[in-house]
Amino acid sequence: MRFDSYHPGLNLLFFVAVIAAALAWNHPVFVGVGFVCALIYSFALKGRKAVLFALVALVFPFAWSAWFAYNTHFGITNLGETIIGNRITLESLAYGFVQGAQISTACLWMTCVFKLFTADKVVYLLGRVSPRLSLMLAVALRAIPMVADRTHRIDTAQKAIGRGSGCGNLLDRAHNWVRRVSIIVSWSIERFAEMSDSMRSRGSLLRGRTAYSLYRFDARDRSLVITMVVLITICIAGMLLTQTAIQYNPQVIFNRMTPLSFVFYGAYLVFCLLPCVLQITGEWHFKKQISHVEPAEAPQGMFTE
Amino acid sequence: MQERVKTSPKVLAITVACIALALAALASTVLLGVENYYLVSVAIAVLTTVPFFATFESRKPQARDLVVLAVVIALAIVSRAAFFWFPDFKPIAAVIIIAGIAFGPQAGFMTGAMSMLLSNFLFGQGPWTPWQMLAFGLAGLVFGILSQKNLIPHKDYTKKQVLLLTVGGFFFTWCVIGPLLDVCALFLMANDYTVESVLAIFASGVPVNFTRAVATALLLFFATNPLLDKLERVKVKYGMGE
Amino acid sequence: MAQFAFQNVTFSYPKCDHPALDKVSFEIEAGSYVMLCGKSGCGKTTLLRHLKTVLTPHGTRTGQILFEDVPLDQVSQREQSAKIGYVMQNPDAQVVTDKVWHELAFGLESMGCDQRTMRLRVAEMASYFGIQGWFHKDVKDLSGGQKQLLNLASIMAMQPSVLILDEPTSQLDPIAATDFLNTVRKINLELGTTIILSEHRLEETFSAADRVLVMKQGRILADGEPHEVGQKLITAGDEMAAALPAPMRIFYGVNSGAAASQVAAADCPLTVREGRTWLTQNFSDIPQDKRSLPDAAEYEETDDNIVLSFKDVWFRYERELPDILRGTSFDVHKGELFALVGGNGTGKSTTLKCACGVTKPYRGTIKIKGKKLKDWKNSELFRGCIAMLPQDPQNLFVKKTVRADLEEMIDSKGLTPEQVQEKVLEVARTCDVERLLDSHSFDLSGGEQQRAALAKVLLCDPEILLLDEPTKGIDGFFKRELAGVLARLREKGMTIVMVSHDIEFCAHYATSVSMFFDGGVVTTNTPRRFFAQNSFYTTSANRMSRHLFENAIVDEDVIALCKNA
Repeated sequence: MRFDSYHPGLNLLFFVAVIAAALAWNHPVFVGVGFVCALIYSFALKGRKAVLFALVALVFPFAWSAWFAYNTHFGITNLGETIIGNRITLESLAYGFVQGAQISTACLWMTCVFKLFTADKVVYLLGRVSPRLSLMLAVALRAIPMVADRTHRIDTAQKAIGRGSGCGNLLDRAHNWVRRVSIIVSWSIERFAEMSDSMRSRGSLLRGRTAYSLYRFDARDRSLVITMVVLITICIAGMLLTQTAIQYNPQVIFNRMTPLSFVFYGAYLVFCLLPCVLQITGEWHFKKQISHVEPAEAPQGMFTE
Repeated sequence: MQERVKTSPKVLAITVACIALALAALASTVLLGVENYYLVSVAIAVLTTVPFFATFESRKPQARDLVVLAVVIALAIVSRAAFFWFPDFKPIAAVIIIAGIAFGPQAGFMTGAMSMLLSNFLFGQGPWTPWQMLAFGLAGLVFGILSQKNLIPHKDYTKKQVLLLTVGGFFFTWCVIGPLLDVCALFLMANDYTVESVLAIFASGVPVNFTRAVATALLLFFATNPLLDKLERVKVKYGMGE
Repeated sequence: MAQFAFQNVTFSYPKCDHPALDKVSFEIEAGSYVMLCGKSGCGKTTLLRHLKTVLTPHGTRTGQILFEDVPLDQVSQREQSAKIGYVMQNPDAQVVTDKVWHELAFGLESMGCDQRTMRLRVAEMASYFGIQGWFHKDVKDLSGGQKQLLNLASIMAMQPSVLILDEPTSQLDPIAATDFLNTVRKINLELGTTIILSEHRLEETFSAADRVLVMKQGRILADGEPHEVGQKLITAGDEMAAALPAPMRIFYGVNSGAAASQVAAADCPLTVREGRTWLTQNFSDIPQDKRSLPDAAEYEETDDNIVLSFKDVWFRYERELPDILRGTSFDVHKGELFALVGGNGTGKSTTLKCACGVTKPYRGTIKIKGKKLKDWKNSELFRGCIAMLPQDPQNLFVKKTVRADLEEMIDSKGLTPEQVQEKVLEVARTCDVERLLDSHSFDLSGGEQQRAALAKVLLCDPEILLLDEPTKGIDGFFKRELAGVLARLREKGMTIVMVSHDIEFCAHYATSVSMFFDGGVVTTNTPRRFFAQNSFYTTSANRMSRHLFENAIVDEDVIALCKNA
């Protein structure tokens, strides 16, 4: 089962947790684990399209580190001098690199968020908080493409009488552009008045609005949420035992590594890998299943979209 | 929206409370020596905005009115966003002024305040947001009052009237909206005030405000009649504000 | 108990001298299927909007409206929202959310239903209306018919006791329209929901209604059972008579004049099936030689006077999308009214767009007056050569009056203001919009907008005029006016290419008809040959009479043959 087929609340919990962890914890192991997992998941979600962003994310920590060390000069290990005579220190280089990796990780997770959170999920989650706001979002999501489509139609109609956006000299074009804006304004006012009639006619102004939910919280969601909460608790315990952050200024000081530390690392690793694991095992199960049912017509695109 | 509406006691109470709170905030800086000007300035700006929203709400706007206002606000936002590549050249005040003329002071203020609030989601929110809401809301308010008192026409401007409105809008944007925004900058930037530092901030604002005023004047010149026509029509058709 | 009662209701719009509703009184029984018809602009929409408080237009009103014996304005908003369902004309404007599922749940969300009830009702509606297949889709990917069905379903989810529909099919193609009206009929029959429907497509709805109300200039002109109302309209010689279903028109065409008031109204056929029976009973003894109209001349495919030609034109909107035009070839001769008919999404509109260079085909040649389209300069092409009237005329209007909109099109260089006005008046006269010149274009009815837009397009002075669905959303009366305008233009030597779903209109007025299918023209012929050969895709008059008569495609043909007997 893919992670996006779970309840949106769980999707939200996961991303809030990993992004917060990525930004808050600067222990190199945690940063490294977060970065690698985010990279893997972005590839798992987007395939080849993830390459470009991944390259940027890989280069960014180095660039950030250089820029940071050039401008900030704390630390005791001197490595050299800049042209204008400022110190370059190992500590600031290291700190810059870690910070860059943190930002990269957060951005990588964000690309996954954009891929995973469809408008439906956002509308649903907002609906839990305020049905009215969620309705406004849904209306906006309907209205904006509608206006965009109309602009296109208007231009087509105007082109066919020789007044389109690309007709005539520069002055004509500007004039035609203004005409288009004018039409779209008149049209929008008219259309949205009609839309508001349709809304009011179906009781949009009544008190006590609720929000329909496309999603159900089932047993599968329950077991996942328990797993997630356990892992998060372990990681937070690690944070409380100061296992997740280290000191960089004025000197890089690691905290003591105990067997327990590895438990924390492991918990974080498993947590970050959860969606990938779910996806891989889900697909494997699915393949196994359809190979049992010969000659099945696999409902292509239902799960492997 | 032309007839006079009595202010409801609830709105009056809100207004009084806001004024009292704003004065208290001011007093706290002077008398108690609170030095967080930043916070105080934001508080004052927010508090001045609240009564206008309350008045607007108390008039129980119809859904259709809101829809039309939403379109105007969207247009205002577009007029700001369309010129993202040209710093300070933002004709948004023109749209707000026209909305004020067409729909009266309350709706005018709403248009100004809301379009700044919403467009700042594109341009960046910050402590300046309430100030911008106040300043641009005032544009809608003032021109709304002018048209309500029949000092300027509600529609069908002659060429001369368009020119007058353009000049009026130009100076309003340059000399009222601009300095108000500079006051915000004053609160945000300076820590201790001397006559020189205050003057320096206002002086640095002059060219910026001038550019904004030029943009506003240009749009007022070209768009006043076409846009007023459209708004006037929906007013009649849907009986807006009556 | 009457579900709705109008008691002497008079209403006028602001700044309007004559009332839009004039002393209207009637009652509607629960469970009935009432049809409201009348020329556009007669006050149908105004009347229907009075049936729900939130939709009631702005203006002055006297009289009283009762809903289940309670004055309507005393019925709570909550009750009105649920019990009175209202479907409006434009399918696109009514859908307010971005997803099908959300739209279905919209009303229930407003009522504050809990999750269980909502799930059940939404599931019920999706199943009843066959929406399961596109339940998760984006609204913007739906066809017009699907959108309108969605509107209906989302209203039915609130379980209304009365359903009001204001010309719900005017923006739909004939197949979607028939589907929609069948669904409405099904709701009435299976659920007992009261239906109040205004329509200009009388062919399909007239026979289904229990009762017909005819409006004229804000008054109720006729009220009663369909057969009676039909007879009344015919004997009164009202304009609306032309909009009656074809079998009815033929019946009264045969029994014309004094006979019309003497025949029993109940004998009149309402549907094609009844019409066939009636013809068989009365005219099956006609001798063979009187059963056929002279066969029209075969359509000539000459090479003379070709003004527009497509040769193997291929087009697709984007690289990865399928081809829309697949080797389209056809020729249009000077002075023709060339009609392209065919189903939805076959590429008819795209053909028009290609013809005026708005979209560019990737293979094949289009020639205008013998010169390749790509060799034409934009400025020459749209000044005096070709112009297109778009499907939605609102996309053309820029100014606040029709007059200003027409003036805007005129290149006023070297013309005095009087000459400009002269030109405006001339084109307004041609298009019959003289008295509309000072109205706002958005305030006009569909038919008036169509003609005003046509006037604007004509100011390009085109020799070839392209029309995209010119009869969409227009009632029978305005169609005839439009036909008059087109005839006048052809007299002036204009060539007209029209894309249409409107078989009856093409049969009456086109000079040649082409069947468009799967991205190309299948066949071209004269309307008589074209429709006489088809058995499904043809006019009502032809379907009704083809078992007896040959080559009869319009009412007048059938009437002539019957009278001849």
